[in-house]
Amino acid sequence: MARVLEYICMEFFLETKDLSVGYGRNPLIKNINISVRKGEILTVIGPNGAGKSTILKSISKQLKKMSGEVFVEEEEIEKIKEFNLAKKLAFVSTNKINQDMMSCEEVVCLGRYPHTGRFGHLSAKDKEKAEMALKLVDAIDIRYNDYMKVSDGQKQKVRIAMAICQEPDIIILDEPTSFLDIRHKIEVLEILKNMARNGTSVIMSLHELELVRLISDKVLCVDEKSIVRYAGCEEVFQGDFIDELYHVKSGSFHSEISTVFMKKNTESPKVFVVAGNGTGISVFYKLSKKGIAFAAGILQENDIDAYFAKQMTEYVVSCPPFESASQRETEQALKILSQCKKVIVTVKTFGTANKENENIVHEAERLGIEVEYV
Amino acid sequence: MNADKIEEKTTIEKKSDKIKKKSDNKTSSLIILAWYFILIILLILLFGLNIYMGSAKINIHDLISVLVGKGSTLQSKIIWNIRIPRAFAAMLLGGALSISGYLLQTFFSNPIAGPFVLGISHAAKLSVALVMILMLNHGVVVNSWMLITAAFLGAMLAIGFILAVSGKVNRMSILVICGVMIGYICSAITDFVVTFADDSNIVNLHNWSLGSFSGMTMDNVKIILIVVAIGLFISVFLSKPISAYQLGESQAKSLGVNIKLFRAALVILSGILSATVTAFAGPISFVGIAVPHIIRNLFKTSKPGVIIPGCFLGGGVFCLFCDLIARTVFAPTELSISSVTSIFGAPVVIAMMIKRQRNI
Repeated sequence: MARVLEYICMEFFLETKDLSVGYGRNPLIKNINISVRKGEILTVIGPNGAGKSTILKSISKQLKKMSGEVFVEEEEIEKIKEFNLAKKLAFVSTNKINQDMMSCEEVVCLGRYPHTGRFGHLSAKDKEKAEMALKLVDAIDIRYNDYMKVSDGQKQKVRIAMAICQEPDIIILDEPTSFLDIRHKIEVLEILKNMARNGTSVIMSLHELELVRLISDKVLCVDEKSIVRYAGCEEVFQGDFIDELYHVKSGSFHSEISTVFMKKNTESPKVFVVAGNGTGISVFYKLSKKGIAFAAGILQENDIDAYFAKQMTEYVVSCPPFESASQRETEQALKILSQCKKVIVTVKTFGTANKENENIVHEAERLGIEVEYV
Repeated sequence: MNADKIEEKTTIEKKSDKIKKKSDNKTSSLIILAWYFILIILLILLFGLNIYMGSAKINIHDLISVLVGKGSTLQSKIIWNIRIPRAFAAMLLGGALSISGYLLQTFFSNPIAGPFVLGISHAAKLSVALVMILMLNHGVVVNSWMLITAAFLGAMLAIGFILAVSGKVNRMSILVICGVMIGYICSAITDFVVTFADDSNIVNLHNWSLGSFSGMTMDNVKIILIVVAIGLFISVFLSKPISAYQLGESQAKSLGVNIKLFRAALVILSGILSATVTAFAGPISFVGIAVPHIIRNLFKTSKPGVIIPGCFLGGGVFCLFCDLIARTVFAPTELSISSVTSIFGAPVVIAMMIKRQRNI
């Protein structure tokens, strides 16, 4: 039993004990206790200025920690020589590289720095590793291009290739996806995921909440200079926690569908949308953008349209999942409908589960309300 | 069918592209080798011209006979005691100045840094002038090592001041303005001191304080050679951390560079090199900025391992060329070396700044 425990403990590549971090004299964040296993991905999230970068810099020895301990493979980080630390831990910062006349390959090759001799001469093995790293990040085509002249996304991939070249057990990245287009965001995360699968521990900060869930094993939530939650994705992305963490006042982040919404329109509805099965989403977006108050119905609560409609308007008539609308819900819908000037129907057909919706459309026609089929 | 053809074409294009780029990589090292060769040829050529030309006309025959140890005593004195030490000094000090500039540019991550614009040369000059006058008034003979030490302390004071400013504002333009101001203040005080000192020895100081390679002896050259050789050697040793530091401080840290130690080494080394130049030849303008810039552009690389020796050779060539002009154009009147280096160096600096602005 003891041996098993010991084995598990050994697996922690990075561990902190009562770590306090900050600049100058006053600690910014106290009592940080995290542990990252081999091949695990830890993401740090939180509002701007909460201290995410400060934590990342402190656990990678970029910044002197205030108190507490950081263990890299069971060794206290202060006691590890720069040279040896570089073989275990790579840090990718947000600072721009501003050096012209340097090819992407040369930048990547610098990742071999801790492994090369006094003059930094690259052996055939070093070059091979650089080439492999370039292939891994799919940047082999730009290897001879000037680093300063490639796109931001390619730059970031090259920097990660450099970190890969370093052959670290832990890679720490400060906002690796910021300022990248969606393609490169996904590619960067894919690369990191593969690194983790091959046994590298990944610690990073992310601003894109929808991406956090795709990749993280654990999430560290930092707010107002303290750790508010340190848990798996399930515990972080539930209820209103994210809105609270980021102090979202108008609008919201919907944790279940990882989507951002603006403030709801609270006026009484002018348009009634008969939606269902995801057909209503684009109409909802159009109406909210134009500031037209609308109602949606009758939606089953497990319908994706219901998730969206509820974030965009107060007037959603919904029924329980897998049920058709009850008498009460139909009446409620008709009541709202009577105030509307227009009905938009986004569903193509009516089946057994939404037959009440068909009645609503007929009722609208009977009342002389304009009906538009989209 | 058509789509297939297009695809085929693009793959062929890609392949030929790859082949082209690979050969590019090989040619780039060939270019560097070619430039090394050209620089060495130029160095030898200019060295020859520097000992051949001068206010006293000596023809080729006489020059050769002097060099092989014959010739008249007067001519041999001119060649061996004046021109050869001077050419050696110009070559070594020019190289030292360029490396000093390169190290400062690395330190500040900015190509506009240099010992002259940051006021380091002037501070070294002032401190040398003060030491000389003080020593002469007390009847002590000043030796070269004392001069280098004095210049080094002056240089360190100026760098210390610049660093203190850079801790508050981290904009190169402001640092350069501060440096230029330090330069003016130090020059003014030096002028004061030199003007009011009446010792005949100090009269020579006036020439020196404007920058000149004149009056070098073989003993001077020996000392210069020792200091510069050590400086060059250590700089080449630093080329590995420099290459990492070029990616920025935090990246260098992540790669395992001991930043504090490295930065201290950069400052002290560039201080020693520029102090040596100032101690022997006074402040020399723009070499430290222009030469590394030219070398980088000729070599088309930023690898410190090849740039540092390149800077040394380039600085030697540049200063031999400028000293040749300073001595010969208005002979027997000599120009100060800084006037000549400014004419050739300052436009390079301006062009560089405009290019940088355009890139941003």
